[in-house]
Amino acid sequence: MKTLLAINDLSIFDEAGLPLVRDISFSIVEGSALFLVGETGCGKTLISQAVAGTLPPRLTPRGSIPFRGRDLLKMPQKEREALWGRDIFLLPQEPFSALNPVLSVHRQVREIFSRVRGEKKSTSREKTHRLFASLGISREASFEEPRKLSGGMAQRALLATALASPAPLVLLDEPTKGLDSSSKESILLLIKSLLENRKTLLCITHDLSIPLEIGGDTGVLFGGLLVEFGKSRELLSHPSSPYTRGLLNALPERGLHPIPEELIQHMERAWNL
Amino acid sequence: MPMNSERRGALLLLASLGAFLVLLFWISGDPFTQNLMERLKESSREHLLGTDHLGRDFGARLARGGRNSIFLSALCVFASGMIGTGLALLALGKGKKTETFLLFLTDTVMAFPGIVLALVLGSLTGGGISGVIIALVFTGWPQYFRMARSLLKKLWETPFVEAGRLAGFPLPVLFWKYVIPELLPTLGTMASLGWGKTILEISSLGFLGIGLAPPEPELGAMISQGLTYMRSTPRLVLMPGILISLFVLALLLLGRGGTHTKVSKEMFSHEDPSCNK
Repeated sequence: MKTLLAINDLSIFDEAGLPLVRDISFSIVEGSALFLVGETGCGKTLISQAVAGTLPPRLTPRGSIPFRGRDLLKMPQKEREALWGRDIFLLPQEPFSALNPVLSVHRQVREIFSRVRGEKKSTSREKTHRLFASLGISREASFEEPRKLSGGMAQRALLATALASPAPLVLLDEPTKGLDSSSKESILLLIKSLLENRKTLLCITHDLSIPLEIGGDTGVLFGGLLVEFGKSRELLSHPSSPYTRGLLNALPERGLHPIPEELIQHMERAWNL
Repeated sequence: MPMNSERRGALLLLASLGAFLVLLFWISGDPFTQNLMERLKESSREHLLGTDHLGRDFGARLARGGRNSIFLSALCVFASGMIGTGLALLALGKGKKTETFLLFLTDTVMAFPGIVLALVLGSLTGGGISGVIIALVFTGWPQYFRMARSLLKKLWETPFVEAGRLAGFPLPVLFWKYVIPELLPTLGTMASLGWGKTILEISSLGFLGIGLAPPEPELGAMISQGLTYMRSTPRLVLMPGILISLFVLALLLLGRGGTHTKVSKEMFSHEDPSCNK
């Protein structure tokens, strides 16, 4: 099993020098999924931005992020942008704002085959047809502009762009944010199909049901610190940290208990946040 | 282009003006043949709109002059729009230094008064039309550059363009497939307004004797030549004048119609609903 991406002692500082993310380390094995969970503001999105190279310029990262033998943080911005779509693919949250409104979804996926992978026109058309068929989108529907598709179909069309891309690492930012439970089911299926296609996933979410369903590794973040890390199912069924227990109790199927205020205060004191 | 009642009216007006010119072109004779025996004649079977002060068929001259004015101004607007948009894309693609330089250049060029420059260049090129075109394009492109640049800056950060960048599309694909289709409604509106303005500018210069070399007719020059006979034969001035006014009105309405549509409203408003992340 080869490690595709590692994060070593990553800290991210704001312009005042305050750490927003503190000394985080983990690694992702090729073809597996890693989930970062935590509340809003715990720094999970910053970590994915540091990997993608879209961190706002006022924030400074420290540490190292080796990816295929090269440290991403030491690369000039131009080279990092060259990785986009070829080595790292960022799957956007919301399909209707992320798909090009004036091109058919078929065209958008085909362009990835022909312009990013550099394949011939006829082969890219053929591959696009097959990809949409495998995702259950009819030929006629694939020739429509995104606004004419249903939410679920648009979501799958967006996924098709990730599947068409040659990038082995796919970053997902809150894939289930604002979705009802039936759409969430289909997202879970889409995440599984990404893994079946041997993509490596780094998924940011505050929805613990995703790692429970998919497996892989999970890291729990609190205030920029990695509180707990381990195999998703073990960690979430027998959490050792009271904070992880609190997060689990906040799940709707366990009664939506808010995380106790005393616990958060205690943790903030303990880590001097 | 999105439709609304204002736009439909403008298109109808444009279409009828175009049809009028084509018809006139068809039924009239040669616009250059002089017949001094027949000067300043009223409408007749032979010359439907009469003759001008040199006995030339006035209808034919009006048709040809209208065509010249419209095509020349369209050429100026098209060239300015292309140069402006192209440079805005270049500024975006090449980065900070190029952008700063181009902004400096536009500021400098925008300080030139277009008509005065056209007068100077026109006289330097012997009153020819090439000087006029060069001057109008030279002073015309900066406004397209500025508009395209500010739209591009905003578009570049919208989720779908960002998604396209992160999907690894090379710049030409991002430009042609993602950015330019979004620029067209706004820039088209601007070009339509600019077209009307340029017809007026070319006519003003023609009135001053700079532009197409005689005997080639041009609406502004026709007005200035007709002024001498304003008392006896007012149509020599009125008809080209009305033609210019109607064309400019139609183009302004076409452009104004554009600013009411949903797309351009979103582009011009400061809060883009699709931008909240």
